Amino acid sequence: MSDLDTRLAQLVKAERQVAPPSDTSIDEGWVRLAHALVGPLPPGPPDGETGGGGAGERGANEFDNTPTTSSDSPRPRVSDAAVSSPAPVVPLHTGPAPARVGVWVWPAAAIVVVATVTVVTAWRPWSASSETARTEGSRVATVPSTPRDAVEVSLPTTNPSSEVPSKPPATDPAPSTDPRADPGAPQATPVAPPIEEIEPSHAAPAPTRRAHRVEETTTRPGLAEELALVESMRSAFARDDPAEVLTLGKQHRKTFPKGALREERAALEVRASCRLGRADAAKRRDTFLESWPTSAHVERIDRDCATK
Amino acid sequence: MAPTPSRRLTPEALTHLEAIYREYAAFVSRNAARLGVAESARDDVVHDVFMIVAQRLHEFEGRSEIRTWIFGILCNVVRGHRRSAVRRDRRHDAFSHTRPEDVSVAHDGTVADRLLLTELLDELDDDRRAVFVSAELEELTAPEIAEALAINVNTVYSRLRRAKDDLKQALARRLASPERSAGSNQ
Repeated sequence: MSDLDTRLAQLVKAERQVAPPSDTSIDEGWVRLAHALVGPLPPGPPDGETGGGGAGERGANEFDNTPTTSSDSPRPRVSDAAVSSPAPVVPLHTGPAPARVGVWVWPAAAIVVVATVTVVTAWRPWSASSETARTEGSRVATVPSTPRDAVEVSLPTTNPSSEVPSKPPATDPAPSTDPRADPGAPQATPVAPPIEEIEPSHAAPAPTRRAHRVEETTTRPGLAEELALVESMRSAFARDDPAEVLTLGKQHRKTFPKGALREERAALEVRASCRLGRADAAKRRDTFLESWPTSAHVERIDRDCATK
Repeated sequence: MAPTPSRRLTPEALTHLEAIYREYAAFVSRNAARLGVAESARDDVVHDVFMIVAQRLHEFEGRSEIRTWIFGILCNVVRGHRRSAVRRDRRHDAFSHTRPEDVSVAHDGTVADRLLLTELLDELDDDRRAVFVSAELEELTAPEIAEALAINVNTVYSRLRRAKDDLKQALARRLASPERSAGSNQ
């Protein structure tokens, strides 16, 4: 082997030792991706409909310690936030499949409903009482069974009638980045759950009172807003502005007392407090560790707080 | 242009996608760098790759590893980015954005070696570079590379051989001109 071969092998070996990106950057990337994919989700029902069991609003210096996500996942994951529900949610209407919806005559009220709420709701845990309330307030009913079944998540659209297909769309979802950007052949047997184009819900026309209620829900902050707020906190932390992190954290706590990203918010608040050298930093840290002892943020918190 | 997001996600798909993202985001990021994407554009490339993954996941055949499939998507996304403009900043990026974890291994010249290899890779054409990165740095097999890049297996071997030759020539030039070997070991 020549010297050049040896030297090239050294370079390759060094490159293979590249360190992985931090968990933070991966988290941030996923939040951004989920934001792009999920879009501005309409929010869940108001707190009054969620029934008991939630931690509720607490003092500004306390952390909510009721985990938002499933107990087997120490960190709230965005997908959990978007889809998790203790009980499956199915459309009230169980008649024709979406492919046949196009032959239906859609009353205007139903179109409004399609445009604003096919989302269901439950990106936060619900109590049994909340499910009844939710059924009352939207077009879905809950069935007490295993969680995570048949949860419907879709985006609102400003022009639903134009997106009502007579059959499921068969358009090529190829990205415009590059027409060659599809190395996988399309005729394969799916190995993963499909991601579909938006389809109209086929719910019965909603009464005016319910339509009004639906419009109200679109004005409340939802997952997209929560994601954006936590992203703002991360950005503030990244530019070394811990005071802004704490300000945004208070805003998050007030707006999303049971938000899906409470753990991220709390972790950033702890780290920001440590950076500021605040007297309550240790208390915040202890509270965080008590609430999320197996959190992936613990190491970073320990690192940040140990240097202060 | 960023891919258009799907308008509807099943919750299962979103959960599945998150698992894939967390597993392969680092893989995509580091190989985006190796394929010539500047630090400033890397997050966007990673984002675009997984937007495509999200849209195409149900089409993934499972004949090859998902890593191979994602690598093919990455190569196509990278082609869509204007590399010529960002290359100018890469050498600066390589140092200015060095992560703390990189610094920890800098004592034995690893960072300098990585920088040198980056500069050498910049001298390869895109096709040979993709084959070299996938074969030598990610250790994909020739059939996997052929699948990912939609080329013949013999073409893989040919490009790999030529890529190595090109890299050795470029390395020889740098060794002959020490002032150009900014990233080489001292």
